[in-house]
Amino acid sequence: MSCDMSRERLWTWVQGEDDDASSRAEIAAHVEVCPSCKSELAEMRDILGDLESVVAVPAKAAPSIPDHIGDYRVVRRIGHGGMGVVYEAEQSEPRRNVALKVILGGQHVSELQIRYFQREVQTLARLNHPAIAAIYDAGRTEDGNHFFAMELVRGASLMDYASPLGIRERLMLFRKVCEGISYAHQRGVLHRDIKPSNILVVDDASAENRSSFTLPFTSSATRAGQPKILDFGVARIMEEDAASPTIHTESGRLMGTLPYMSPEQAAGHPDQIDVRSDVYALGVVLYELLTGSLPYDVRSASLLSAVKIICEQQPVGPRAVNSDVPGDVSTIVLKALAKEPERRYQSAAALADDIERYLSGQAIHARPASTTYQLRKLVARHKAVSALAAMLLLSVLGGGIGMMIHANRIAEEARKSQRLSAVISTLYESADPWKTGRTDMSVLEALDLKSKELASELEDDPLVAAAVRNTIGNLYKGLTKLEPAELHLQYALETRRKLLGDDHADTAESMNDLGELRYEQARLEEAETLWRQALAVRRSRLGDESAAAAETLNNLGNLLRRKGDLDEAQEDLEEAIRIRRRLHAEAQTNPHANARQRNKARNDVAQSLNNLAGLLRSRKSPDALAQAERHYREALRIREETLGSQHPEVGKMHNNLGKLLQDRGDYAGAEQSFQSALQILRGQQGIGQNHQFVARLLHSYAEVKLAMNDPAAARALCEEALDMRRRLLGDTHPETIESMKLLESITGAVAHNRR
Amino acid sequence: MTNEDTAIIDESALLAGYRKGSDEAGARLMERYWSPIYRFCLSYLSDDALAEDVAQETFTKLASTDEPPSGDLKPWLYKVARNRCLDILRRHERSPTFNRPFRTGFDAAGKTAGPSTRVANHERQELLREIISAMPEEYRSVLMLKHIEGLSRLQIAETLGVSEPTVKGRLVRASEYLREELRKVSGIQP
Repeated sequence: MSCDMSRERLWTWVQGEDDDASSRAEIAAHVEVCPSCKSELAEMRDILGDLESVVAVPAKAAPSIPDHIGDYRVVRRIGHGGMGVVYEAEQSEPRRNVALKVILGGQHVSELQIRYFQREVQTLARLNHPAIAAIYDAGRTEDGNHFFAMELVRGASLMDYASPLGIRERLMLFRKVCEGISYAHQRGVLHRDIKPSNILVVDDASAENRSSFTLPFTSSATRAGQPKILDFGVARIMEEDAASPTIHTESGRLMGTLPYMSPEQAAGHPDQIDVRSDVYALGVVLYELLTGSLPYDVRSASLLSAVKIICEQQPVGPRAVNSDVPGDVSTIVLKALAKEPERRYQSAAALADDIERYLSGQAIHARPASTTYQLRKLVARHKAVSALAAMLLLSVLGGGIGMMIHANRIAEEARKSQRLSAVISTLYESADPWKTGRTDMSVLEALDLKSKELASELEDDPLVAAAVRNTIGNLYKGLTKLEPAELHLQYALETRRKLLGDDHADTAESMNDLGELRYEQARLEEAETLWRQALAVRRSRLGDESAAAAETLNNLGNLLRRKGDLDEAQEDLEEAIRIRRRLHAEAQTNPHANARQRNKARNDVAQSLNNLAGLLRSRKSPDALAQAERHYREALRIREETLGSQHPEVGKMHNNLGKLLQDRGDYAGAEQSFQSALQILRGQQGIGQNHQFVARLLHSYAEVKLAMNDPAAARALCEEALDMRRRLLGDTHPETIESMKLLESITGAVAHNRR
Repeated sequence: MTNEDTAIIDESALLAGYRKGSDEAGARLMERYWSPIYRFCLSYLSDDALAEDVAQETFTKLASTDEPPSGDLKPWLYKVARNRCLDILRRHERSPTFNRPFRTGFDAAGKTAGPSTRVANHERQELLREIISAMPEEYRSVLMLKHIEGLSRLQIAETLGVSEPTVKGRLVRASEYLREELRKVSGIQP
């Protein structure tokens, strides 16, 4: 502006807000002579003129309210939705205020709407529960509109009511909603349109005493509330539907409100809708109640992409949105929101029950989705991972890069059957020489190659990367490649700690597995710390009696034994055996368990028996040794039955039994056991000639032969052991020195015999 | 006694009657205020049914509240309606700066202008509509209440719960914002 007049003064003046008469006169005179201000003023007037025309909305009269509907005197309109208008009305006999719901459009409403309406009446009339708004009456207005009279709910909407409440109080409120829904389910009634706006909450104490309709303008302080579920307008009566195929067809269209729809509902599969669809909607409501946001934002998405999101996208855990949400509660919500109905709570009552369990401090039934399950879900979305994993499997199994030409086919198979979790776990077993009898360098090479690719492929998905790298770390550990094992296991643990926190089952898995590595590295204190942490988390997250807790107990027992703390070690191992025996018995009677799972449960028992026997052996008392022998023999029998007589683990068991019999002075028995062990292990590719364990076996056998006064045989065995130890461990390793000393003794004995 | 005073006394009587259940008093109040309140709500919510419901809720609250307005009714109604609209928008995670198409009943074509002017006007008004849609609520409310609803500075101050000087300053800033944004996006030099 070229003059001194500020635009602020001009705006104030042109909008009639200049209170000073002399200032107004001054501006009026100025703009007459100042072309610049004149132009500014014209622009301002244009803008204000346009503003009025742009924002202006044609006047609209208040909707007319009828005096009476049927025998009811209408008091006021409460609101309206897609189906009709709702009024507050007075009923004369009995004298009470009711909510009148009228379908708009008189006689012109569609037959479908009328059917919905009539169904709503029939449905609600059968329900009598404090959490469900009761129906009183139904009829038609003078101009042919359908209406019904229902309980007038004097309450606030669920979200308004809950806004001042803490997590715990919200859960208590929500549990009551579940109870109402469960009551309806038990009577064959689905809601099918559960959402916060269909749930009002009244104050328990004051609801009956208030005379006017309470609108959700304000939120009350913390209080006990009674939810009232409204609008069963789209609910269907299941047994009626069974006899009414036309309703199936019509209800195939999308009903209810999209963000709260279960995948089966959103995808338009009315035949798949059941109580678990309501459980899903309850899950969305609970999610919103706890976080203030929806699990998926589908409001701005097209219908097609909204359906895709609902059917495919995994929700972010509520705890990630609101850190005040406890882990267990987050788990409960995610279980309710599972894509597949069979993975959800099977009823609203089960959902209510788990919430009650949380509130009363009991362990909840829901479990966080397992790593393998999450992997499978994620891999289904990241096809590249699937292909890589299949290639990794192939490399491991085939032991050669050349076989990778089939990777696509295998990957396709893996995708089709969604069995990547099995693929990954098989990988582990396949690469563990004790399980397959093979230590193939090409496996290592493939692993080295593929693990890098996998790690970079999964960079954008750190939790999947952590799961995969945990598996890879275990693979390396099984191959006694401790350095790369450490790299992957440490990454997995750090990532899980950062993203999931210490108190998570997956983090505990990584603690356990890294602990095993530390144990192998003889870093016992670190192993002990990790295992004690893992045990605490596994007990609290998965249960005291869980397989995972038993696994870590077993590890810890072994470690304490090695440290010489025999009493605590024995306690832990006995506890692990007790749990594993129980789990095995359960697996035997569980019709859903397969042979592999049953065998695994049995082998776990054998593992702990073996460890306890080792501990008892170190106690050296005759009683302890006798007990140890019983445990070894049971473990051996289990291994033979489940793994076959030629399995390397069976070879190991023969060896252990042999060592015990050697301790007890039963040299003949010991020799028999060592021979069985050698026969099995020598036959194993990659173990027989080239493993520390076989060297130990040869050394022990040599000792026995010496004790049996057969120094020649002892010498041959000991020389083989020493040769192997020199190669594997070097000349200065204690075990190499041990064999050197034994050889000296044998040489001495030979000389003595000659004399 | 000024006409304004008479209107307020008249309103007080109407309000008292309405709160006692007089249909006639209710009808007269509705006649006077229902349409502006509905329009005001519509500018926030861009949803006919929702705007109607909020207008209805506002009048229901007027009948049932324990703290009815003691003086001027207008600011009370706008204040209640605005708070409720903002509450709904917050709940629906809609941006309080109204990042959605601005909903009005306006017919963009001028009544008397020729075809080319109509096109220019239409574009300019579309731009203005977009700017208003994206405008901070504190600017938009003050412009709406002043230029569309015709509230006085005192009434606007009561509605928004701020002082009169604040309203005055905000009007200038809001107008200036509008002008700057319009220049920025259109290059139009009126």
